[in-house]
Amino acid sequence: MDLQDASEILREAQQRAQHELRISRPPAFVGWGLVYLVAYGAIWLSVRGQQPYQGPTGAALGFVTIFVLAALGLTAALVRRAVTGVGGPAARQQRLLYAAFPVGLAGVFLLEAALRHAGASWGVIGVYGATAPMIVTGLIYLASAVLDFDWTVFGLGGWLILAAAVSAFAGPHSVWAAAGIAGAVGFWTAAALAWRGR
Amino acid sequence: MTDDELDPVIHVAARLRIAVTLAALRDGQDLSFTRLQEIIGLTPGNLITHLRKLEEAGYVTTVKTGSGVSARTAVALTRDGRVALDNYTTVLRRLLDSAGSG
Repeated sequence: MDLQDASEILREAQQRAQHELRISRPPAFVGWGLVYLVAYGAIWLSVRGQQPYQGPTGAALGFVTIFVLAALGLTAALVRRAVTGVGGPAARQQRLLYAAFPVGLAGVFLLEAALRHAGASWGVIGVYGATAPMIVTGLIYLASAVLDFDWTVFGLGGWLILAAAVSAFAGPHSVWAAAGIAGAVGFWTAAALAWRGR
Repeated sequence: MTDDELDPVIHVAARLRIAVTLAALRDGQDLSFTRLQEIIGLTPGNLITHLRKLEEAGYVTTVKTGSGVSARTAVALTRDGRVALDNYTTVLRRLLDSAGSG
């Protein structure tokens, strides 16, 4: 094997290993930015004329549910390819983190039902429904950043939490637009930074 | 081996591919034998032979767990293996640079 062959094998093997064993973050972040914009935008369109606030329509909720489930399915397929055959303590930590996301979201939606049951207004439910899933997502990204020593992901997690909390002040109608735009901006900025850092 | 010599254990196409693939894992991660075989594209017999060479040099570890259908052989790059691959890459770049400028 001469030097040029070795150099070519090294380059090709590095590319193949990255492709097979790492989740490519830039396209995933671009996709989730789009999910935030479209899903939150669809809900905002369905609530913006309501006086008083009554919550998203069934059609908007159905569209958002299908859209988010499709995005989750695509993300799961990307993650599955990257983790197949990978083991060891670090891989187990990562799997626990992935499992924490649906657990956190289930808690968010149960708490939403409990708030409604306790007599919270639709306005409060709207603000909570728009911001709580974003805060859980932000926390998962913060935990992921700690495991991977990744400042871009840490920034994204912090941004999502802060953007959700600040958007809440916009009230039950506008919170959907504010949080959706802020979420998309956060993901797309993280995608650009991750792309530049490759 | 001098500073200008490529590590002969790594300087074999299949073993270079194995080391580079395992180096893509994070610290504390390992890769199953079957997934490694799928990524590298070697026959099981060939992969075992090359892994044995790398293991003898202290560059990889292989750990078998379970039995029957749940058996799994985990392959990981050791700290020495990671250092050896880094050194190999540095020496290779230096040799290519000097060959280009010569």
